[in-house]
Amino acid sequence: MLLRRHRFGLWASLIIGAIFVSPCVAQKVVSARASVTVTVIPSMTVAGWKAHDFGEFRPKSELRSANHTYHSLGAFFVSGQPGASVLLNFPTSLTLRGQDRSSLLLAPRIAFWSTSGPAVGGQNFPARATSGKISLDSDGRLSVWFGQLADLDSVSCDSYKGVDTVSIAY
Amino acid sequence: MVAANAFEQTHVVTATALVNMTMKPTMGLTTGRDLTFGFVVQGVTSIYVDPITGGNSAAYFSLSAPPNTPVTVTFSSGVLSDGSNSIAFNGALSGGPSTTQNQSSQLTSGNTITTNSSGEYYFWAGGTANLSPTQPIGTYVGSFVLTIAY
Repeated sequence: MLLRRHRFGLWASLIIGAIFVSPCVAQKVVSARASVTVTVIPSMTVAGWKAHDFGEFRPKSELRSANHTYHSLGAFFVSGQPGASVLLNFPTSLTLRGQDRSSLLLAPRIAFWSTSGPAVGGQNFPARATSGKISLDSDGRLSVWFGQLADLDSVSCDSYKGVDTVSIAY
Repeated sequence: MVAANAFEQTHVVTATALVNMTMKPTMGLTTGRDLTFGFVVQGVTSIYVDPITGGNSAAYFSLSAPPNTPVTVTFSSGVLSDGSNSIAFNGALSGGPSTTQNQSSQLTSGNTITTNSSGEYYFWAGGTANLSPTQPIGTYVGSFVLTIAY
């Protein structure tokens, strides 16, 4: 009987021990979170954004637009990896064709700019006569503004049209 | 009577000493910097930020605990989403007793580390983002969750 009571007491103390000890060994956790971000951008693209329209000029006048406001300039829009260095190539001459098969020779000029939209209207740009290297901005954008120089001394009255081409090497 | 009162007067001088005590929580884990993969051109199918050599691109955590305390480190990662499209993301973790990132060691989820004698330990998180060749253009965001059990 004493032994049975002793065993009961042993079991009771073990159970009580378990009840009081368990909370002390429970695992605690702390956690922290960091955000993860990746931005997918398009591969290099070039798109014609604004056609170049000289308007009307009289013969025997010099036709200049390379340093004029954006209203008389054409533009290409380049999109690619932010900060990427690109080489812009453009022809040294451009021939426009008239409706009566006459031609008008132009000397393309490029002005680099690095914003995407027409907000730069009214700005004057430093014209470049040669192809050159330039970096896209931090958003991967570059606007290439272009104009032309021409001497209209021996040009007949007509409406002339042509296509200007810019290539991007990267 | 007047003279006796003068002698019975009590003189008191006091001195003060400033006592500073900083109460620290038993265990604190703080995010110091987020993980940034940056820009990836469409068509690239994998981009990796090494937690040891990834510099400021890697996320940064600091642990404050009692000195020389062993703790278990686990971390989870999942997908990055732009709201309608997703990118699979597998996290990577490094850690060390000093704040020098490139001296930290690679950790796997479930590892046990021990805080330094000041009770500090530092973590850096990177990982791999796996994109599809035609991954839609956009900004994808997700989470890296670091958990410490003690």
